[in-house]
Amino acid sequence: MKICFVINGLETEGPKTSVYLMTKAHKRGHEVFVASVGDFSFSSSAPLALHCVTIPKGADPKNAEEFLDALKSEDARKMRLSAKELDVIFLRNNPTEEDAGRKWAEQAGIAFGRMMQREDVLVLNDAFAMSHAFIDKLYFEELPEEIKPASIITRSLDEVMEFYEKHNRQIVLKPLEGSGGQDVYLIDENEKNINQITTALKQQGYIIAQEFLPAVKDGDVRVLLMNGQVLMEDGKHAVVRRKGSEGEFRSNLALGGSADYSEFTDAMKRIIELTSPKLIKDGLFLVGLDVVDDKLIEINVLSPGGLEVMESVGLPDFTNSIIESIEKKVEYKKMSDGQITNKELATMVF
Amino acid sequence: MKICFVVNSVETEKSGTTVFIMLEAFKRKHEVYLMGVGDFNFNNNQELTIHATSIPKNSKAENSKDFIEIFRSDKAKQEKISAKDLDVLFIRNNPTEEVDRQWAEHSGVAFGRMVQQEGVLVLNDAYALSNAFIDKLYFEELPSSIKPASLITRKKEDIMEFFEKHKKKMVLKPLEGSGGRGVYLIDKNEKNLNQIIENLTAQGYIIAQEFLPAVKDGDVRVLLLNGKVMEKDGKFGIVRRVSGEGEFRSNISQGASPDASEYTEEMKKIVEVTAPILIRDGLFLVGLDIVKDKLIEINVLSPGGMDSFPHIGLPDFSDVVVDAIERKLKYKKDYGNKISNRELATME
Repeated sequence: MKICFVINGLETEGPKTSVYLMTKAHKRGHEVFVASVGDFSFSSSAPLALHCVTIPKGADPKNAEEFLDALKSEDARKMRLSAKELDVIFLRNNPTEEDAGRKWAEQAGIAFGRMMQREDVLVLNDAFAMSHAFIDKLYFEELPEEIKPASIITRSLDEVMEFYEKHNRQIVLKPLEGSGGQDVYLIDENEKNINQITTALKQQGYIIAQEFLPAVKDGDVRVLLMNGQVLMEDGKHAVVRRKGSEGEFRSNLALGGSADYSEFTDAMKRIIELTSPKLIKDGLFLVGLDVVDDKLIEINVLSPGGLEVMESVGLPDFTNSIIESIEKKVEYKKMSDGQITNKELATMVF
Repeated sequence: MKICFVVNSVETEKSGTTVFIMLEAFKRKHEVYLMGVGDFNFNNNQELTIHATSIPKNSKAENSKDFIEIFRSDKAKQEKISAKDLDVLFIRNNPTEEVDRQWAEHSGVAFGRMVQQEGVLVLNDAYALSNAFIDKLYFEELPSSIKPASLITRKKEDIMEFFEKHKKKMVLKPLEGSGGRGVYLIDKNEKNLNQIIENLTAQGYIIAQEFLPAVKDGDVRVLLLNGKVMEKDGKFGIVRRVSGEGEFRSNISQGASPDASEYTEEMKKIVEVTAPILIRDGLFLVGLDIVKDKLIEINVLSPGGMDSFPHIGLPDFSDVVVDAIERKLKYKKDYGNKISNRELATME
């Protein structure tokens, strides 16, 4: 198959989940292309096209680092591919990681993804669902209450203070749009700067206040779901614990947290049971859940990662199952003769 | 009915189309609320609430200008209302007019979807607004017979190729933007083409559009309601916008002046071709910009123009809009959730 991965930009891409998937697709004999969110090209008189990069002829990278090097090498081939020539577009750009000067890049991947979808390319995750889940912390709030910490989303400082009092003066504050642990604050009764913090957050937009979960001292667990089910290989589940460094309650690896093995608990199972029907309905193929004890604290539908972290704690390689699932979707799409929607196909289990 | 209008912010709202509709609803004794995109409040174990502004029932306003001023006066009341108690949420904020408030661009539509899930009639359908968020891309889903030739890209070579193909005359503009800002007319005499392309590329994607000579007579804004042109007493809700001397852009904000226009066969054809998609998607109130026989833009996020109508001898049509909303609520009452928001949003 011909598969194109859409990423923020080649310059900023690291050998992580997206590149792991590219490498595996290449190893399984597929033609792998990479484009950045700025590389779409629409013409009213021709099918939608993408300016892509692919590795040099004859190159055979063995791992993600080598694959990325090959893409960045001088001999990498640049080409323009039309929607008609592509089987799959995998939207893997992360809008929240764009610099302030690239505001335009935040929506472009999804918006052009929808056009590709209308031109009958299989788009993962479903691009219409991604539009709806674009602010993933709001999408999260559509899930059943039982599995979520108490929270409010507001720009009213009075509301935040009321919530703070109600939750025994221990809450987490964060911006509605953001990721990687940036501007996530733990507020307790000793916090002297609560006004300054809320004012600063308000300037960035809506504020989420969340009940503090004591279990967060043991970090959180990233669970990777595919087609609404936890990824599995050799009887192992794709779950990894991330622990904050000493004196840090945020467990983001970008902030110096460390990865650790985790059991797949009954509480996680319950969370998945209550989350997956919605993910399946919406066509969200690959999704990351962040779990603390028996609560879901975040859901990541725009470019979820973690495969490289799972590898580092000795878990098996899950990329095979992912590429295999995409292959089956492509095969089935060809046979179904337009009778099945992108949304249905995106989360279909074979 | 209880109707709440979402605008960029109460402080900056001008007395345009939104306020015309608000005033008409108020005159009919409906409960009218106004809110900014930042005034939603979500609480996971309570109902979604809104910090809304309303004015005393006995307030008197001669015109929309006086009316909006009351919302900013000390007579106005701010209260926290439950979103569920509303009958209608009318999303009328314009994301492209936000300055330094990037967060505000998506909030109206995103929270609008949550309100819609609570069973409130949301106009335009909030899911459709998500999909049409970049309206110039939504536009490109329409049949090519009614559109000028165009290109959307960040590659200079592609633009140059288009320029040559179209006899060295084209319009360049940013994919995301409005009000005529950053819209350039390029011909063979343009010395700064490289600089212009660089400047636009830094802002994101660029649209190159075939130049339409008829643009010298301005463009015509056609307001559609439920997929049909607004009509009252045999008059149509359309206005020609004629640009100032030496200016090819016909935006009112760029000094264009409104003028009456015929409703031509060509416009009728464009509306016929566009309407099915708008009806399918639940886009209740939409503005089309037409140059002769081509549609050049479609405006689904807070379309305006009704405030120009009185200047060219047309009625202001706000009663037609409020009539249509009242009818939808009647259907909703009779059929409950058997009719989806999307269907209801464009139901005649």
